[in-house]
Amino acid sequence: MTRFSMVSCAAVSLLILLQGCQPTVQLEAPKEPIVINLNVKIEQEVRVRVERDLDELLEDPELFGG
Amino acid sequence: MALPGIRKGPWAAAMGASCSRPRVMVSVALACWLLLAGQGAAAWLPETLQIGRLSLVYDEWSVALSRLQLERRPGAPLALSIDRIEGPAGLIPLWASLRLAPRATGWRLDGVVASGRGELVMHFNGFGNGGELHRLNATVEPLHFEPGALQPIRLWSGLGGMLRDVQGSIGLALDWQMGQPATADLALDVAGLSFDTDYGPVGMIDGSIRLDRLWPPRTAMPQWLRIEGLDPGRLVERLEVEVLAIEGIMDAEFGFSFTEAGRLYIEKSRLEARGPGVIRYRPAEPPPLLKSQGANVDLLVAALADFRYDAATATVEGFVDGEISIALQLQGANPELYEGYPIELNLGLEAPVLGLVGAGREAMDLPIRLRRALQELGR
Repeated sequence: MTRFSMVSCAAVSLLILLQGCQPTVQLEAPKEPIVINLNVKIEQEVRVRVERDLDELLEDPELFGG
Repeated sequence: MALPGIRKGPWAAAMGASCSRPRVMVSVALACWLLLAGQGAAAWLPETLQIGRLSLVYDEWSVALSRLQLERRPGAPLALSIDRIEGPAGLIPLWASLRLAPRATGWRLDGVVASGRGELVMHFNGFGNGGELHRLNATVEPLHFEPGALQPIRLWSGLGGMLRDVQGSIGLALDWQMGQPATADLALDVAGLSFDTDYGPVGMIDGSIRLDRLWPPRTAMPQWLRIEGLDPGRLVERLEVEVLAIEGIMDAEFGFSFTEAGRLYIEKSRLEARGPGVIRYRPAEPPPLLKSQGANVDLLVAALADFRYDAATATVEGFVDGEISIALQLQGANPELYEGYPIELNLGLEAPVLGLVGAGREAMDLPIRLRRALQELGR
């Protein structure tokens, strides 16, 4: 086998190998959505306290003359 | 024609005594008394007795009976007819007719109570002994509501404009039996009922409700109704929650039961959006209650500024007069947030809803109370 033939064979083999390893670029959005979890417990005391404070305010003799 | 009247005072007092036992129907008590009287002592009673007007008062309830007529013919059932029954307040005027016949022990009754044009018709029968009713079966003929025709306000004016454009039918049947304790089987059948309210339309309600005790009400098992066409947007609008707007229609499988003590419990009921919709929640700043929830809150508020949901479900459970748990699940995106990247929101809420509504109403009175206080100050 001549030197040229050997080089040609090597080049062809390399090309075949490179073709097999050709990288594939794929753009794919993540499937999972953003998840927001939130738990809230509302106590009624907040409102009741405001009401009580207001009642006291309305009955304040200095402000409303009792 | 002027009917012979009976002095109102003593009769009203006597009937008042009968009314102190609400389970005994007033008219039955009167007829029963006369039936018993006819069997013996009071042979002086006429075969026909007419009463012009009789007023009955029981606590805050009052009923006026006009033109009562009792017929007591030998060998025939005792017949009582009442031309007009007015009250309690707002209820459509009714007429009644009943027959009372003696049995081996006690008596048996059959009768009908109806409104003048037949909008409301109730048939009943039962039996008893002395002044006590032992068993009563009552059936209300299905009420067919239709816009431009029969509306609930015609039956009870106290409803005002609460329910509008009512369509569909409601039927009611009761089997009540005296005992220790008394037993009952009340069946309320609802078919294709839809109406509009200030808080939004209710598209269609179908289902049946059964109680096995009338008071306090009790259910032997959870009762379920399917409710279609709820519009939470109208509710939010009506409640004047300026920072919140909702678009979309929901359907619900609503379950409830009355416990032994008569407390109303919402079973795990489910609401589901009929299709895509929008939620816009734009507070000036996150509510203080949410502040302790960390970074999630900022993202949540940002997402809800213009959240286009594809699916929305909510489950509701708890005692109506206690703590109610609401779990809300939304799937969708905000086009202005992360280029419309999909977001799933899972919100859990525990709150004494009824108490908050009550407190909310009081809070809505605040301007009025403040104005009054300032007016008093200015005098």
